[in-house]
Amino acid sequence: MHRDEIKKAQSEVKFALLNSDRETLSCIGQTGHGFLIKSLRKPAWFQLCGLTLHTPPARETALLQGDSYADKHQVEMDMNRSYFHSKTHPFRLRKQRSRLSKVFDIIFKTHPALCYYQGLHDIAQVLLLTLSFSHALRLLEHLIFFRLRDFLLPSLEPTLHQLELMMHIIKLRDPELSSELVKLGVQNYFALSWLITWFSHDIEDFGAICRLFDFFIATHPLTVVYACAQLVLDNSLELKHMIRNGSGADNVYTFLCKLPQQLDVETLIRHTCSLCRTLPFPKLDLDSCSISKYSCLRTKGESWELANNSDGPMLFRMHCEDLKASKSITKDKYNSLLPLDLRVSGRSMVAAITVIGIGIVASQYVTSQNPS
Amino acid sequence: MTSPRRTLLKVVILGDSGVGKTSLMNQFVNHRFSREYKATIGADFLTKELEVDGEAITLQLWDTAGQERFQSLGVAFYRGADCCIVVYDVNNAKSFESVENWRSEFLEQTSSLNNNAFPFVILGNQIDKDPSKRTVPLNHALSYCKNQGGNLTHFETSAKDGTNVSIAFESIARSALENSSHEDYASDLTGSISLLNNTNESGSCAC
Repeated sequence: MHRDEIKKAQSEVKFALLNSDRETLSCIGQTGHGFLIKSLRKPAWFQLCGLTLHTPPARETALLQGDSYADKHQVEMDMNRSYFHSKTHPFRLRKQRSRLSKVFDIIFKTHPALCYYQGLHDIAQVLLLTLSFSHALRLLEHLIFFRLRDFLLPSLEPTLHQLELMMHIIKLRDPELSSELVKLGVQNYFALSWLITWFSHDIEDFGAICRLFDFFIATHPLTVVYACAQLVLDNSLELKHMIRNGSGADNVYTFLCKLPQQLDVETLIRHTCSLCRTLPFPKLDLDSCSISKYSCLRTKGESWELANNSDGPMLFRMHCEDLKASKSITKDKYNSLLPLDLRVSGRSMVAAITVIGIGIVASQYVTSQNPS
Repeated sequence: MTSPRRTLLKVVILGDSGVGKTSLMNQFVNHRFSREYKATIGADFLTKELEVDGEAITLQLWDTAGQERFQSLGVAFYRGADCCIVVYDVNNAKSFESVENWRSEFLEQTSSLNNNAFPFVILGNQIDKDPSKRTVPLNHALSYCKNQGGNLTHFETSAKDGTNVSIAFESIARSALENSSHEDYASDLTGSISLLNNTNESGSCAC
């Protein structure tokens, strides 16, 4: 971008911010140039999430209560492997990592039902590098409950359903590619880190990551799934060529894994926007991919309306309950497939013996009555 | 001139988060160590071509995520494996306790016909760290391997300085080759495999 263009673009964002014009901000995040610099990103992200910058002082008291939380060990492990792309001085690196650890301390002690996943630390890093600590905490909490909550459930299933949805979108746009991938048996896990970290795990360029965050924050939660599908669709020709030339599932899989490394973010955003137009969200059959009725993908409205239109923490709890219930149903189903002697409890065993006993007595009685 | 046929062998690397799975694989394949490996999310593989007892092989090494949450994904990659590596950190007792979980999970998911014969190579990594930090003594690990009774080989390694890495992977390649030829024995009975010469290097043992 030319210097004058950057200036013009920045003033465009500033103007929209001053007028609290969220529609324009959303357009800039999608078809425009994004929010360009930290000082503009902060208010733009907050306005687009329907949050005010005057956040009450963070609940750091939570830090003092309780000494640990379930995933603390995992968080510490991932913390020690974070912030590599920022190439910082060891002293600063330690400081950044301790902020990362603190942000999770507060979140997981405040909401113990949330289950940490590897990759959430990638998202948290982006926020902490862009915003102040208390603002990063506030925004992360919002993203967790309104955009990422399906990934923080006790089970991985809802995450996998989102990957299936991605494959479903690919199928709708390019049935030939889809059937080739399925026929070859390529696992859809290549897009796992794209989906759960908003590509921040796979892209090195921090500016590009922030631009993608501008895009995702400006749009509906489903956009991330669309972007994952679009990245595959953008490489359709090469993939088909590989498959025709006899590349096996493993090679195709690893080729797919590496796609974000050579990604042009603006092209992906442009193509994803056009995919969203040709395949509007309401047209998508979420049921066919078992997307739960409590999923954040089902929330309606603009990005800044998500928190008003839905109760994220409550939907998360209900989704947890639903998963628990369906697990016990599966168990019951399994149980009914077992032979009788493996599943009857003590009490029903007594009942079964009684019934058999009565049966024998009755049959003897009938026999004695009809000796012929 | 045609190149000799290469045998493709698949190896899966399992173990708790942060024990050094990615580092070990990169030290072996690229002879490089970096502190800057991110946590592995999902799974991906690297390949390495090498020659074992005159046979040209391509090792396909599958690196997997260590977080328990992602364990179910690994299953998709276990299929067709010729050898399984389970890594622990000698300075982290919990990671050693998990070795058996990873092993049994692997066996359960692959439902190998002969569980005792399937080759596992157990690697105790990060021996470059201060010995005072060690919480898993070598004897402890050796007796675990012995007591399991299966086809378990053990090495202690350092992905950082490369100690025992190539020896361990050579043994892995042999085990994988041996396993794949056992599987193919019905269709290919020609050529005998020169069996593993289990000379014990420092900190290594074929149990």
